[in-house]
Amino acid sequence: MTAVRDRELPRQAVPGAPLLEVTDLRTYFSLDGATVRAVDGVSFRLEQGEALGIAGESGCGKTTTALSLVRLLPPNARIEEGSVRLYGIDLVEKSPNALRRYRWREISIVFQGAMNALNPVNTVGDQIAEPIIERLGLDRKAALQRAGELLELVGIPRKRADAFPHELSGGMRQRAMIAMALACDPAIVIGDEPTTALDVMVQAQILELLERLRRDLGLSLILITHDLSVIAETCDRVMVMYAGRVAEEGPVGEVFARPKHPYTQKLLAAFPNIHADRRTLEVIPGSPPDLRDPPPGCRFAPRCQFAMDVCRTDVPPEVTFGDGVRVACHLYPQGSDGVPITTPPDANGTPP
Amino acid sequence: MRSPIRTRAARVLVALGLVLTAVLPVARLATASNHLILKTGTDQDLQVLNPFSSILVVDFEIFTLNYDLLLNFGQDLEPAPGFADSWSASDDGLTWTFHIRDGMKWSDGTPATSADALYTYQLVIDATAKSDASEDGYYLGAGYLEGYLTNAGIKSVSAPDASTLVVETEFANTLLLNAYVPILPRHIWESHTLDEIGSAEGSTPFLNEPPVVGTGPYQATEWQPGDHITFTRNPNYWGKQGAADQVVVQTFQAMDTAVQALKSGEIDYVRGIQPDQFTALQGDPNIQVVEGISNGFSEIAFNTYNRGPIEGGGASTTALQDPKFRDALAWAIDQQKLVDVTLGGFGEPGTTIVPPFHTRWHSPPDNPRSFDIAEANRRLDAAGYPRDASGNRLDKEGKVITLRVTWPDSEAEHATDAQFIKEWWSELGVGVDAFVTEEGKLLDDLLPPEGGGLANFDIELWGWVGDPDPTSLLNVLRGEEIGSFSDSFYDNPRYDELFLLQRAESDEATRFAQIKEMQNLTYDEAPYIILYYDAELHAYRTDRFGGWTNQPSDGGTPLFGYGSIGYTHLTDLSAVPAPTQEPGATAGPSAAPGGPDGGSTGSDSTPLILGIAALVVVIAGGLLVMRRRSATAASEEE
Amino acid sequence: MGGSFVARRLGQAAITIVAIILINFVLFRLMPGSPERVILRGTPNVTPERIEALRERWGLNDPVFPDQLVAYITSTLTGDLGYSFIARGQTVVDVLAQRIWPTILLFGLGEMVAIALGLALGAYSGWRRGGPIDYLGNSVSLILYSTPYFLLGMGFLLVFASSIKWLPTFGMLTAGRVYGSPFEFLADLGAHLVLPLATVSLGLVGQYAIVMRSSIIETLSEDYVNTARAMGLSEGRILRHHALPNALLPTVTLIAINLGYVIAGAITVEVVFNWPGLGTLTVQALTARDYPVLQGVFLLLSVAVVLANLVADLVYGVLDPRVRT
Repeated sequence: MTAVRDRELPRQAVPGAPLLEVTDLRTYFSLDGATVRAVDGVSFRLEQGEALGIAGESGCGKTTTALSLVRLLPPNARIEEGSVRLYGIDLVEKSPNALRRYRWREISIVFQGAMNALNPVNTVGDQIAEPIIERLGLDRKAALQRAGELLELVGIPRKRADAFPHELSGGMRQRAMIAMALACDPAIVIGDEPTTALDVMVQAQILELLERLRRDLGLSLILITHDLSVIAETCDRVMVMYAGRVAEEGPVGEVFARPKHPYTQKLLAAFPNIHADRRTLEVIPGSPPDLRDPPPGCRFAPRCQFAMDVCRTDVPPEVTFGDGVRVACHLYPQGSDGVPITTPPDANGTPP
Repeated sequence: MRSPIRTRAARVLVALGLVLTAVLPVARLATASNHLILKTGTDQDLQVLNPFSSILVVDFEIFTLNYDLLLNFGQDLEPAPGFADSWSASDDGLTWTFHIRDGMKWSDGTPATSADALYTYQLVIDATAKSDASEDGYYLGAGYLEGYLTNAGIKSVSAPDASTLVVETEFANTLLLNAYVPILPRHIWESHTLDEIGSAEGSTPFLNEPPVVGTGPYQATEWQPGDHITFTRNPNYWGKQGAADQVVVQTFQAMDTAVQALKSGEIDYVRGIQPDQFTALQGDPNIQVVEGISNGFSEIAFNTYNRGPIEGGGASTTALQDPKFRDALAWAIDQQKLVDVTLGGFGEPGTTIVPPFHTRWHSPPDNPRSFDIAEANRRLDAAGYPRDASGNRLDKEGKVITLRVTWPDSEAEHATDAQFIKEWWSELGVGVDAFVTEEGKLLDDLLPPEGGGLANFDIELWGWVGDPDPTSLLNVLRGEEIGSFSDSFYDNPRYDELFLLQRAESDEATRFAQIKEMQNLTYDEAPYIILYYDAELHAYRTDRFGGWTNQPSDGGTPLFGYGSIGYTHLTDLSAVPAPTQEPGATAGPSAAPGGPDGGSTGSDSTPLILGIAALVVVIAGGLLVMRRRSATAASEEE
Repeated sequence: MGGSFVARRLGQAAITIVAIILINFVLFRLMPGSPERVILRGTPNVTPERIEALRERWGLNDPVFPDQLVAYITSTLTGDLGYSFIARGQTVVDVLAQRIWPTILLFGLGEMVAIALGLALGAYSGWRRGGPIDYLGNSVSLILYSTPYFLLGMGFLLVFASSIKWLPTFGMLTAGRVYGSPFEFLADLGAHLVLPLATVSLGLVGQYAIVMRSSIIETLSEDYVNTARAMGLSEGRILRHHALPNALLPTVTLIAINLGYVIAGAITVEVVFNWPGLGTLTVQALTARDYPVLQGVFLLLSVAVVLANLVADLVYGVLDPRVRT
């Protein structure tokens, strides 16, 4: 059992800066001649040791945001604008080859549906050892030794290192993936829907594991999921995205208890509550906009019951409040101190 | 870390070096050698060096290179000196005396005497006696060679001295002069039993593998079964030597490849090419095409069996037994059309059973037919074969006449013939059911009860190939041969009588008249309708060897005829007196095989050098590219 | 790899071979025409007595089942394949032994070259999909794949042997040639080998390249390739270590299945180039109705295909751990 590790930060360019700072990230795709603005002005920061959850429905750009950090994008995608500063160093400006250096060693990813995320013809031990050999330069013996340690760390008996992926259960494969993600001792681990393919019991185990690792190793975590309960359990802060933009971001407790953005409210309302009375799920009418030609102004406006005229023309500014919550909505203009300028409807949905 | 450039480059250079060292000697060797090899190509399979197992044309060609016959065939197939250099017959024609050439040696130096001829002919006599005495029909090998002596009525043979051979025959005839039996070296063969020489069942066959010992102009020294045989000049040959030091007979699976090889100069002679290839080669200045008249024919053979009905077999109608019926059908055959379509125009329309190849014996029919459907119909009506309401002819039993026409799968061109026959005879109201039969099965079907079979056919299309003497062709329609060679079961006592007469007749004019009558009999009664006489299409190069002489002069081919005479006429056109000669390789008859190389492709090496240069450029380019790529890769490394 | 895996595969192969032997037996007894007629091929004046004696000697009068069948199986398993009808005095094993190594040389080398070239080309095309090499390689592969062997072979002959005369037209060695050194022998063999080898390899390369290419493209979309990229591994390493081993799996299957067709192609290529191997032997034996040789060839080639598939199965087991269980 490894002791708590102190993160060395020799490469910190600007002291006091957050571990990761993403500013105005825009990632566009070229599709059949049109440009899809999948991530259109996303900013956030991640502190050392923090767990950030990125939530939103499918297609809102959360995965693309995460992949943009290490530029793991398909050939038709490009980072149009923005900066991604790791230890103050802007990764966007790096050449592809230089950027490769940061992959896995600083930022690693745990993918979802790990059945095929692991190479079926190699043993689990070899696959964990591979980045250790290739990226850290250790010899094979030492790398396999370390792989065994990592397996133990995630709760898999060391001797299973000789197993092939198809010989492990779904839960064990996910653990192996986590072990693999930790191989180069990264600063940040991104989990892209890490528990989606698993049943609830295993899900709980994985989340517990992530929590433990974060505590013991001082990891920083970005968790991408559409499942709010996962975020509620594991993360410190949550960022809700909609149609390529940030809707709301802040401490989990705050955002979930007192959601400010109408979309966040709807999202939380749509989530079934096991303790509440049985009722029909609330759905959000309409569908997300076509990102090739998004609406001017607030992208949620077409579906928002509070939409004002200004919402349809002006992009809502991001306003940060004292409780640490950041919202991009015209209901909360600058200086409104966390109080919406109009009264949101009560729980029954009746307007004031 | 690593040095990929250097290792990769090293590997490429080594590979290139290997390629060059392998290729350059070929370029060097592609220059002409001074070891003259005649290469001939055929599509027949070379499987036998024991003459008694010979069946195919190429088998005969091989043994006439190795050995002499007692009398070889001359330029026009007349008897010429072979193992014997002179001969005479007694007045009664029953005793033949042959003078064996003095001082003649086998290719291994052993003296060749009458003892060898005695030994060889005695083999045949012993085999024939054994065959007559045994139950299961004993034959020497394939059984093709004994007939040449038995048909000549051989009775006994003796050798009073080393230069004399005396042969006694049962009846007077001249067939002994055409005996296609090679004289074998007793000192090599006598250690084998008759069974072994004859490849009898149950014994180990004597294969006569190379190096062969013979008195012919060339002996086989190397043999790849199924692929090629190489012959080398006989150092002790008694006759005029041909220009070639060696002869290679090569089997080709596809005639296209053989013709390509001829065009590129890799072989000098090809036999058995297709009509379209023949026409295409006519324009080539260095190639001569030859259209030889075939000694044989293709025919419609009727099942004329008239010795009673056959249970479970036999012909489908009695009409086939009626010569008038057959004659009428023959009026509805257009032989010229078949020559044009099936043979591509190379051949002659068929008439009598003695092909025009036999210039001395062939005579055109006295009552020739022509292609005349109306006449055919008229004759059918006159012969008593009426039509029914639907227009089908009925036989004398009132049955609709439908004839089964078949041919062996080995003679695929008859399919075309059958189509025409069906068409023509449909206009006569005679139905035709045409189909191919597998050769082995067809051979079974053709057997009459006398041969243990059911003669289960109506008409078959096949062919015969003859000998320098027409006797073997005339033989197939003999009543005597029903149960063995006869596939038509023609049974005419007068014909049989004439056969024996002509066989024993020494006066040419008399014999001609006898054979003429036989031809007319069989033409008029038509147990066979001769369709055509195929042509033998050969081609050869004229820029390396000269002196190509056809055998027979009129309508024959230079090689694959009758004997080795064509090879002895060949001259070397490429012989330019060379300033330096390789030691040991002379052009004289004492040359033993063993020259440094035998490459006979006349290609020049400039294109090859250019090709190598191009290869070098490509490799160099590849190296440059690799270097550049490794450089960029290096920048990616940490 | 489990011993039981190997044992199972060996067992299956053995059963298949036994089945082949049985089919072999039945097939050639269904042939039309009596074998004794073929043995006596063309011999004149054959008496019924002679035929009867022949049938006795060759065991053709015994009941087919079980006597002939048992005799056939025992003799086959002890390596006695009978005597050739045509090549008097030679056993079938002799005849086969004479002709087998030219075929092994030509087709063994041809397959190896085709596999090496095809896999390399296909892998590169798939990896750099849409690039110029891919486009060119794909077109060339399709053209080669669709061209029948004999057309390819004859085309080569016409260009390189007849027109430009760089290379010999036919055969494996120059007939009648005496070699001064093993080097000369190799040079002559090499010159004769070039065109038929090119025909065989190019005929196969197209297929292998196409399958390898689509296989690689499929693997590219697999998640583990994504993971490998996320790990920051070099493109070369990802191709070699992750994509290739997985892409090889369907290709290995194809190569094994293909072997049966390669053998059929053997006949065509050998006939065109007059290569003295099993292909030309088959044609000759067919034309001459040499049934024992045909039986022997059939058995040999079937067993070869079974063995090749066995090897492919075992290789697959080495490559893909998922099938070992």
